[in-house]
Amino acid sequence: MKRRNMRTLLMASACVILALTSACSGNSGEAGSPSDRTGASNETKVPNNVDPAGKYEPPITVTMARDMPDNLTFPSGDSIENNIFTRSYRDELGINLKYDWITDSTQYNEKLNIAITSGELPDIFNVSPVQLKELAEADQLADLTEVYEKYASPLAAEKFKEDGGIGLKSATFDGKLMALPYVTAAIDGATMLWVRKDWLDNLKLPEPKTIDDVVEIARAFATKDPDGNNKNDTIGLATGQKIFGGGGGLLGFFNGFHVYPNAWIPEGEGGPLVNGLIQPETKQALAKLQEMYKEGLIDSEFTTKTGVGPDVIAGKVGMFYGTMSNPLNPLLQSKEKNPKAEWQYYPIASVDDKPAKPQISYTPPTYYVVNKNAENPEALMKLMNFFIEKNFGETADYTYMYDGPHRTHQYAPVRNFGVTKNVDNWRLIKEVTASGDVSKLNPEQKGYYDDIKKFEGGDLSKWSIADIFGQEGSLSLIDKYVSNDMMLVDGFYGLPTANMVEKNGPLNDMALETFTKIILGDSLDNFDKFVANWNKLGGEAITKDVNEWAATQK
Amino acid sequence: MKPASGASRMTLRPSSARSMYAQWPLYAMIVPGAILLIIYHYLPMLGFVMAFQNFKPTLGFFDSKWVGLDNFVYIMNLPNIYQVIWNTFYISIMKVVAGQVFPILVALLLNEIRINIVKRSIQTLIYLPHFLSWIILGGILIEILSPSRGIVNQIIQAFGYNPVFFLGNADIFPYVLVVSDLWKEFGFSTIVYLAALTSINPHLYEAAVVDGASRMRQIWHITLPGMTPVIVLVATLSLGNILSAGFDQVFNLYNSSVYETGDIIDTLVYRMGIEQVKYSLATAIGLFKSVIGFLLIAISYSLAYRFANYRIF
Repeated sequence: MKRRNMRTLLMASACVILALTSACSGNSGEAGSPSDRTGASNETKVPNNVDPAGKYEPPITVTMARDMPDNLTFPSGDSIENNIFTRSYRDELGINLKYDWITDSTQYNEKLNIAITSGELPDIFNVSPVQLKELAEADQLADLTEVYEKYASPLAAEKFKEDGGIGLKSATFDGKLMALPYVTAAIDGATMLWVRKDWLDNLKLPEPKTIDDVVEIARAFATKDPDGNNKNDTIGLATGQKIFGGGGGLLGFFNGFHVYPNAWIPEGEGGPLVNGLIQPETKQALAKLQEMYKEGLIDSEFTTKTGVGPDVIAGKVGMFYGTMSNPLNPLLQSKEKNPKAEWQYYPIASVDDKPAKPQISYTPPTYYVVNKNAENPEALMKLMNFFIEKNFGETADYTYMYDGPHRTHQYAPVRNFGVTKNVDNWRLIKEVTASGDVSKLNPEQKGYYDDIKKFEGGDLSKWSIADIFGQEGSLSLIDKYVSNDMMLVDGFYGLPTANMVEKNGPLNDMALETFTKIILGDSLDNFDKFVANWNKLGGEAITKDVNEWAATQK
Repeated sequence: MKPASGASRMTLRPSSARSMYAQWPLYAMIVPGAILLIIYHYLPMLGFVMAFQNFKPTLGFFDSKWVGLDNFVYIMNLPNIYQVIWNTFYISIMKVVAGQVFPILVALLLNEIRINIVKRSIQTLIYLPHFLSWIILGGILIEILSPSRGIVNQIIQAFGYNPVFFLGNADIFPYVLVVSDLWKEFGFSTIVYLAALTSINPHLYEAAVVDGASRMRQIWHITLPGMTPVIVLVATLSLGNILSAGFDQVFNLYNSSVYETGDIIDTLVYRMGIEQVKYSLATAIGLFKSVIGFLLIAISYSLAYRFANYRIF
């Protein structure tokens, strides 16, 4: 407590000194004149001058926390703390970005929870839905209603409505907007099956259309030495220990059985919402997985692995369930190591003649929030406007999206892409490739287009972009999923209910443990016990909550 | 260690206010330490009220809702909680016993080595893993214990046996924890015991040799009794940690397929409490563990006092 008071005092005196000195030098620019700014920090938090892209004079410092995406690379000399975004924030917005702490993405939540507990929160940070709810109820967050109304650029406002307003709605508490949702391409999360096409060809196998094909291919990959090195060192179907995960998990496999773990789906036509974990079909999927594990078709050590990446790169994996973005990671690294590796995606295989639907969720995975004590809550909206403008606006510049092999857009701590961005890009690039009229492309799309041309000209470093945005790229499958209505949308997209916060921990734990152990060989009957326990230990109460919530959405 | 042995050496017992007055500079020297101790070790203890609240950070200790024993009830109603408590006891008792017996044996053996350089190098080598964190060791162990690529299983296979999935087999997992913990920490404990051995008066050995005692007899009648105070001290203190079976280690090695035998109180609370932002829950379990730990220390100390005539205070 004391420390924060001390800091506020220091900040206030610094403000006064700055105000005096800049007034003396006669530098009272339009955006944030000194008198305005001292007034702002004392009374109302939103300054009167409103310009969504206006620059702070003098510059302000905003503290943030950051999760580093895996395998993020930088142009030489750059780092997460000094890159195209931080420099532009400083030069164009007058915002100096300072990271209080940076962790890898798996540690972020835990680290943030500790920061929440100790009260040492940065000005701007991103939170999970549970954390949003806790923080909003604990009154730790700045009210962004006014900030959003005054500062959201028209383009940003458009992006925030692409999901039908679901994100903003879920971040609104008692009519007050407490966070900016990360509206992302939820449809891009749809799973697909990535297979080593060169291995398929080596062993003269058919494409995986049904679960039986998947089993057949896994068997051949595991036993018939597909890489021809005369060693029995290949994995049939790879997965990490997080079996409910979409990328590098088994979610796509479950979806192939028309089973949707942790998604809420109507029971029958228009019936009440039920959880996909506990449906009878789930047991069949588990039985098949158990059979495959017993036969050695699934990575025997998957329980000790956090993901499939390292094995994929090492050339041991022939097949895994992933997403459209996998060419960036780990497939590009796999190709760099072994240029002969041919990765091909397929729609997730179905157990019967009904096509399998990958499950997706429109609930924003994270929200951006502002600390209640932050001096400039509108800085978040400015950062957001900036990202959207530089990527989708009239002044868009492709280097804010990609710089060679570097995923520059991920350097930005505040991002928003909208729902259909990637597949829209793909569609337009396809159209332009046919017509040749490149003037239709915005800089980002033009960047992809050029990269694809470069790849066709022999530049292998552009392989991943070509394999995503090219005509035959992974997005063509997302386009197919969308146009044929082949995705299953989670019926629940509100914030977690009280019962979920209390019971989801033990329930998820139990599901992961039971399912993993059944795959490893435990009796299938444990699934029935699991269903009973799941209901008893809170699943029933949560189901009730979800259906009550659904009633309010009608 | 130091304060304890210092205190036990202090035979002077100032019983009157006059002697306190006479020694006031000595007492004054305690004051800064005592103040720091109170600020950093006693005041934070007040935080245990969180265990009886539904604690919210901004509401603070005074405005958070009081919920009585709800947090404890929640913990006791978690599925598998009894299995988890049992795992915790089982793993940590094995760790305490192995962590006592093995270093004593090694210390005795090292003590018999006459070439100093050999003794010192062995000491340093077995001491090294103590400085590695479980994050690093976890990664190393996952690699060397892997059934397909790990060196341990290659050796097992070289002898014609089937590979063992050490970290994926619930029957073996607790023993992997004990052995790997022993490997990491026994060097450190060995040094503690070696230090105890140096304090044994060499004249006792000389007298024993004159009386015709063999090496074994010397160990039995001189070395072991000489070590007893330290053994009792270490055992007593380790009993206080009996409910902490080693979070860092288990967390870095376990996975959902070995929860049955490998999940301990700390890892369960981590998944239920810290990951889900439940401060009160984590505090409640911490308080529970401290109370049990305190009771165990008190009991074991009084036993040591009564039967081994051993005293710290």
